[in-house]
Amino acid sequence: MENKDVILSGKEITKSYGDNTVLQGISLELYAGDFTVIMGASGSGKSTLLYVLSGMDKPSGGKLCYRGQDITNASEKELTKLRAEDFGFVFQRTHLVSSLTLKENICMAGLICGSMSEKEVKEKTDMLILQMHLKKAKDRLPAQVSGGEAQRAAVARAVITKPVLLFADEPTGALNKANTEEVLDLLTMAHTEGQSVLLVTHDRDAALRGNRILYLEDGIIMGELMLEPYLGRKKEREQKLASWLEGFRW
Amino acid sequence: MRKNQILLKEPVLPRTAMLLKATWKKQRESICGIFLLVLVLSLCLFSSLTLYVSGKNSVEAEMDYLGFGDFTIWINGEREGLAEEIEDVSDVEKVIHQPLIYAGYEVNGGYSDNEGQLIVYDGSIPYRFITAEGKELSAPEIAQGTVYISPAMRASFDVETGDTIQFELSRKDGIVSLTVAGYFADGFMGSSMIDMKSFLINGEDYAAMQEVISTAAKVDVLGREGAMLHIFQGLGSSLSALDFQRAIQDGSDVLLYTEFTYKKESILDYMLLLQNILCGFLIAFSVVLFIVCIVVTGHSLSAVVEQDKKDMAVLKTLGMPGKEIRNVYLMLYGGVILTGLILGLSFAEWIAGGLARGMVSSTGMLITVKLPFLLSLLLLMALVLLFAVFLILRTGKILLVAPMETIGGTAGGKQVRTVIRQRFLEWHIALRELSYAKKNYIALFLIAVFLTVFLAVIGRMGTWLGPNGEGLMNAFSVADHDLGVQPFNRDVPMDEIERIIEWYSPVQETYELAMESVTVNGQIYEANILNDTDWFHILRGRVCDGDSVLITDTVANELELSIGDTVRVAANGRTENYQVSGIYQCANGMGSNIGMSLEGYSKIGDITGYIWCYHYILENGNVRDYAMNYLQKHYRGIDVHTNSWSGLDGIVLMMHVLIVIIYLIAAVFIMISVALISGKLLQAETGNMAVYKSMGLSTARLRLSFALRFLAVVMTGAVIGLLVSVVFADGLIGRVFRSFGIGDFHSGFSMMGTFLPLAAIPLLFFLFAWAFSARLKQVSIVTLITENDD
Repeated sequence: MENKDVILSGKEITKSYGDNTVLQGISLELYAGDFTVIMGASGSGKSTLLYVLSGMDKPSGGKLCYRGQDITNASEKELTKLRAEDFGFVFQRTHLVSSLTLKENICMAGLICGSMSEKEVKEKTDMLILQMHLKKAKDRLPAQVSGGEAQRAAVARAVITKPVLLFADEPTGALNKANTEEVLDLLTMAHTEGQSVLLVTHDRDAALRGNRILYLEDGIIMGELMLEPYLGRKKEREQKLASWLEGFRW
Repeated sequence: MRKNQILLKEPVLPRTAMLLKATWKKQRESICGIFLLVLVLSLCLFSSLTLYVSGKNSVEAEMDYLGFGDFTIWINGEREGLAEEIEDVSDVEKVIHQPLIYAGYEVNGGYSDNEGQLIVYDGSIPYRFITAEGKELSAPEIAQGTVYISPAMRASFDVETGDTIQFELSRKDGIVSLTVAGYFADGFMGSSMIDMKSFLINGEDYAAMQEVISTAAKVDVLGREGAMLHIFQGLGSSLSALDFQRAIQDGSDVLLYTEFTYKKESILDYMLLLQNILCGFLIAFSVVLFIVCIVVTGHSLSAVVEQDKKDMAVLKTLGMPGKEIRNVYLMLYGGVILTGLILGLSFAEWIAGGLARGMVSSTGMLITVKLPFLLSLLLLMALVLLFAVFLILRTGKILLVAPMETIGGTAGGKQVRTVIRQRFLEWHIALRELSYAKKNYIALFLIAVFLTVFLAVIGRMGTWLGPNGEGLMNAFSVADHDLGVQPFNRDVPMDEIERIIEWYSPVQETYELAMESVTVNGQIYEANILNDTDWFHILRGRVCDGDSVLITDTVANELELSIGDTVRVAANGRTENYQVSGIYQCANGMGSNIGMSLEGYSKIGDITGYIWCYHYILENGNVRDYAMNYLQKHYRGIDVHTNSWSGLDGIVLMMHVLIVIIYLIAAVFIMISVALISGKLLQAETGNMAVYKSMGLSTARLRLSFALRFLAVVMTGAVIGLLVSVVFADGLIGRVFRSFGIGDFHSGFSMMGTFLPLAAIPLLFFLFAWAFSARLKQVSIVTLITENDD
């Protein structure tokens, strides 16, 4: 772990909504090239943690650093730049722009980022459409495609700019098994290609894609499991995760 | 859901009240916006209507109060028994004889184009005395050496109490100076639109003036005695106005002494010209505002129904009838519309009163403002009915909400046709949103079209009018000219005067004009006689010659004449038949005039004496005022004038004020409309906006894109509005102008008139949309996870 670069770190992160404290002084570090999974029961604060870490939501207390730079109180302009260039997001609900076709939704992220020419964005989009099996649906609007197609397009949109860190909040929560596998494959592929991933899920199969699992309960990280040593040994990974989760009465 | 179940267990009334409260809470922004729009509409409509009706009633009442008959004849000289002779005519009820002295005058270095009419104030005619602001004062004793004037002279000559007016009665020691002591309300000559002005003076001053006139040598006399004969038609008389006038002319010698004649209606038109133009435009603008209100309300209701569709569907599944849900919306929207209309109506009198007070220096009297109750009530009922029908039709959609289809959602079969490009990304996103949800922008488009048409019409009027009122000058004058000089005696050195004019600017053209009273088929008109008939503004037909005359549209309508007809023209006891060769434009006397050639008039008229006015067209027309001032200052016995009149400045000023008022109201309307429309759009698009933000599109770029949608739609509407105005405006304005005697209206192109609405309307929409889209700053990406548990 020591030889990995820390890309995002949170120190004593708290988040409260009125009297309700959702995150209770969490400290954690995310490393370059990791596929980190946050697990926990409903209401444990895992999505809140993801949105605070990604700068979408402001923490009530604590400090947040991205690549060594304090972004706790970053301006909207700085955060916009981070979202356009360094961060990618996949939401539980697809959240595609309703007036854009799937292809345009994917393309749009590249166009906004500005690091690629329009031609490059279009080539990359066409490539992702093929990879995501969206050829037939690419020219349809989000309201005209299936949930699986929409979510695959949402993942493609998140990865088109090759973000440093990909945040995924329960991306398979509303999908059937086949679509779930396809979406997880895409996240794994992004990870394999060197992108860091932070996935929030309560699905064991989804969690098995990660190399580092954090367990959250009542806004506190209760445990951490490294699955890296079991790379390539699917059964052992599953057993390890199951027994680890049992410790939290999961 | 539990809440809804509870709701449905309630009896209908409390249940409706609960739903009303909830809907109000959710839609209060839209409802308040519509209330404001309706309030502005109501204020604009009812105050202009109040001013219009009050103006008409007030001036008419004042004319009756001061004894103006069905028509008044201004006569020259005094003829014993003339009034009695007229009174003996069978259809005449009575004649009021009001003696006066005609005299030219100078005030504050300015000379009047028309003679003043000096009248003794002895209380027999109950003139009202007022302050410059129109407040009524008790009748004073007019002291010797003082004069009371119309407050309209403040606008024409910048005259104040304490200033001196010099009346020219005789060339030799015949200038009488009187000090302005105050103002009086002149019900039939007070308006700044009428250059003839009355002056109330002391009886001893009047007698002294009569003495000056009677003792002066004939060649030196400038002033003259005369009278106004106010003639009242008998109540039982069945004669038309025209036949009544003919009967008086046939039954008396009045024609031999007539200077000019005005019907009550003509005086009313003159007196009310300014406020009629102002009210006319404001009422027309109110119609545009009404359409905008309907469009915005329609848009708002559609958006609200769309937004609340799911809630409505849920309520329906629980057994609440669609009619009951609809009634909630009808009550809310109908309630605020009715409140806005009634509130506007209740302030109308107050606003109209303010406008009337501000117009005293134009109207020459304070209009007594009174809300026309019955008319307002009828109009209010008509508006309520129109809004009610509209609301019932628009909320019909609520009845059609199908519960399961709505809750389940539909896939929709939309197609997109615009492309998304990296360059000008904001613009491309804007175009996509427009093509994706065209329906949402129809309201904007319609508002833009209607506002542009109206503002372009106003702009075209402004262009026609010109910066110095050239449009009206040409419409009211017989023929174009820069300078006119009329000598009143043989001592006037016209050669020298022409050399002076030449010194200011070379003279391009010159011709001569005389204006004499004639009768046409027995009706009194003014004949404009030119020695060069090519100068007449011919609308149709050809210029006149020795055997023909020109008539205006007004005369053609009054006497039911057309080109080719034969008319009987009489003057000085001689009568001759002429053919109507054409229709020409001259709005002077509300168009009650004819055009004749020198050759034609010489058959019936006396062309000796000093009837001719020499008109000059200068190479450099800008120097005309300097030349006029010089000549007025250095020569006596002449009348020098430009192609203008003192009330023109008032019209030009009012036009500018009107444009500013209408642009201000339009800006308020645009602001409220944009607030309503943008509010609904942003509410519907919060999700999309948050997604764009999550992709890294900054708030500023999103706002720009949002405002660009408005710009694109409104610009399209504005261009179409402008084209519509180009095609229809001249015809529309021409139709209105015809009633003022202006038969021909053609507005030219101008940057201000043409492009101001095209630039101002889209720009206002764009800026307001930009401003209101500031709420995008509050759109948080967290919106996207609000439905998640954690």
